[in-house]
Amino acid sequence: MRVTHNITYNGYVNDLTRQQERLLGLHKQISTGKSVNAPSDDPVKVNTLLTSRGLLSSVSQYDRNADSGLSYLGIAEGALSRAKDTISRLSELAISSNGIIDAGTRANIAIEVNNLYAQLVDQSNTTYDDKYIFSGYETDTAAFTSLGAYQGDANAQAIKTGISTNVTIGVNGGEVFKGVGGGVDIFGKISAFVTALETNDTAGCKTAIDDMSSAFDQVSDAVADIGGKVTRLNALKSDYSRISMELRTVMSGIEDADMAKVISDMQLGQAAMEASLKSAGRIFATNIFDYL
Amino acid sequence: MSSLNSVLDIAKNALLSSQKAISVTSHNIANANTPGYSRQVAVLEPMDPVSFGGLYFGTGVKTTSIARVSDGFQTAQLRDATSNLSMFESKGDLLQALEGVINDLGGTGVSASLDAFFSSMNSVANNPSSYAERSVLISNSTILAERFHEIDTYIRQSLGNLNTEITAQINEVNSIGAQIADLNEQISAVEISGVSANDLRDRRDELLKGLSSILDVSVVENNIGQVDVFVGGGPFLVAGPNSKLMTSEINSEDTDINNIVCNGVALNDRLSGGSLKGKLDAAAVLQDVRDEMNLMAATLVKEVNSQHSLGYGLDGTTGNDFFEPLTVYTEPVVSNPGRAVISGGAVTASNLLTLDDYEVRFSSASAYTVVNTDTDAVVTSGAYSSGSTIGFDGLSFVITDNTGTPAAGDRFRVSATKNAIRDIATLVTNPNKIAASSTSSGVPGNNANMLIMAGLKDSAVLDSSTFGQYYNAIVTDLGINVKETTRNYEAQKLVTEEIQKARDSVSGVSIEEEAISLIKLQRAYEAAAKVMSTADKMLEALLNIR
Repeated sequence: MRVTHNITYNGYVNDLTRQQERLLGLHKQISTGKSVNAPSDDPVKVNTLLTSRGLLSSVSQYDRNADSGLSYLGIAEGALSRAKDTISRLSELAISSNGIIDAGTRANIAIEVNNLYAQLVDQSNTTYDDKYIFSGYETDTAAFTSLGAYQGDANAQAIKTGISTNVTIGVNGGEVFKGVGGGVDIFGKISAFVTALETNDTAGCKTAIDDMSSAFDQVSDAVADIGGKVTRLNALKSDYSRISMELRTVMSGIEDADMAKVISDMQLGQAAMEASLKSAGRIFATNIFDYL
Repeated sequence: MSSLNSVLDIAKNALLSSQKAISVTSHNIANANTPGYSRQVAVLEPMDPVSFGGLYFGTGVKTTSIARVSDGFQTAQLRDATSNLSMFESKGDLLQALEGVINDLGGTGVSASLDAFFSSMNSVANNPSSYAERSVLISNSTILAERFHEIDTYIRQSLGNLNTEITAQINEVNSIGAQIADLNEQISAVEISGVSANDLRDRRDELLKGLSSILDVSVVENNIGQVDVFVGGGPFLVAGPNSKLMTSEINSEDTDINNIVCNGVALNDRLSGGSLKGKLDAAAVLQDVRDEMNLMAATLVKEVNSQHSLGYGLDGTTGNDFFEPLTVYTEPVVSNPGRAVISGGAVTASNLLTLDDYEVRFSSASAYTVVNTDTDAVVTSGAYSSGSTIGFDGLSFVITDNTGTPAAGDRFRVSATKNAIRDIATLVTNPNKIAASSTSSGVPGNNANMLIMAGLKDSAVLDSSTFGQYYNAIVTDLGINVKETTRNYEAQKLVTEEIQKARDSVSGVSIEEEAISLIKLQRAYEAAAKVMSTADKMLEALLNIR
């Protein structure tokens, strides 16, 4: 082949450009730490990567939803535990009221029961972030009046915990304290107990023992229910963290540059570039007119 | 006849030949770097011998021609290769730029904004009465709209620029065509006398190469050395000494990119190479991406609005849109023969919208059919009466006589998705109007509607995929397209370099070769001069005989 002036120079320029492009690509991988920097670097990987990112974002949001649910449930659990204590004291008083005591003592017990009643109303009106947690959707309305009338609605809030799953995190005050939908109207029963005490109605006081015990059971059930939901949310949270971990591993496998490989490639490339610069220097320095 | 005079003649011709050859060599050296230059050689031949005394005597040397070392096949190959190379190059450059705009790997693009948008819906659901979460939702939806706008602006500007560049390249083609026609004339005028018009041919080849980098050409040379140039596998641009003007004309089927017309033939679909083809290809990809993004944005607006309007805000209002509702765009096709106008495009029932594009076609001045151009199904048809509302699939518009009636063949385009990525905007400004509640009595704690809205993230509402999947598919498709174009470009570049190398190997100037031939010719010149002085001395000796 005749090697002409332009072949030498063009060939050199083309080769040098290619080497520079390669080095630039490696440099980009080193400086970003990513092996995939544009969709065209590896379209299939990029699809997986973007899908994983979308999933990760969903899972992180579900995790935040679960956190918000857990704190909500925590507040409700605390309030109901305190309500349990209150009702447990009422049970004690119901038992005492059935002893051999006189009307005056019963009237004294009535005063304490009234106080406990007010305390239970307060507990049923527990707020979280300025919202009444037992009012169903009516979170800006107190759940119960001082007379024990329920002012909320029959709903309970849910949070999103998966593509098509929701977990109810609201505890409906109507159900827990008023027995809406088949249960004990706790406030009603306490009022009846007070009336029995004040009228020295021993039969009424006897009924109160059973009433307070079923009230206690009703609130206990609600607490257990919350416990179940907390367990479920915690299980979901550990699922989320496992899924996120897996997704992160997948993503890292796809997008993270293999530094050892990239750096050694870079060194190889540099050496090749230096060699070709040196060889070009030699070739261009040689001129036939120096010898003629 | 072998006289001393003839020796002097031989020496004279030898001197002249060497001088001519040196002149050719210096021309080669001077043009070593001229693009498209083909090296030339002085073709020497012995002069006709003469017979004298039963012997044949040579009469020296003559320069018969100055030949151009060029291979027509290589030149044609190089043209084809250049054509493909510049097609892939311009397409690749444009697509890579687009890829940069919708590249979501930085985590700040549409898909990240979409995720943030739906995430903030979840936050509102977690805390439906809180002002802060609601504000964040509005801000995230504004950011998402902003991402769509950026893509819209980019594509809009790119298509505008492309159209301008295409027109500019058409002018360049016209200028090259005129120059080739000129050269055709000069070359045939020179060559009619039997001389080869070397440098003019080089110039013409270089112009043809330049032309082939803009569009694919086929070149046919006739017997008087003129070339005819055909473009896009069809019409001729140059025929001998004449050239045609290519023009850019409004395209009634494509409002973004003009038609490239040569000899009355639209070349847009016929071109197969050159940067024009690359630009047209890239424009098609830009339009596809825009259409897909429009559909995505329009679907988002439609789905979010339909769900949002079912719910109740903290202020108790309902039926509110979350995003600005979609606009129905209507336009007549540029080439309509009739005089009617279309106006008043409006959405009548957003839940009935198909988000497909439609065309109203007139079969006569009084009858029209509406065709869904995505499914090719006839949606409705009727008798035309000026000014009456035409409505179907949740949208409506009016066609009215303007300076005249419609005519058979009139077409009007109707679309609810066109410009969706430009128009998308958050309509809700007051966070309390965000409809998280599913009932009016459920305010403020009811989050049921917001949960459904948040669930839109995972609903397959767009061509059986979710918003995220749909967008990822756009990004991936573009990635594949860019990769393919880049690979083709790299392969074509190697091929072109090889062909260029082969061409340079044959036609290129080798400085070493020329230097050596310079020395060789110098020596020959000296030798011829020596012959002359020897003959002169012999003559002198002869004349000195007394």
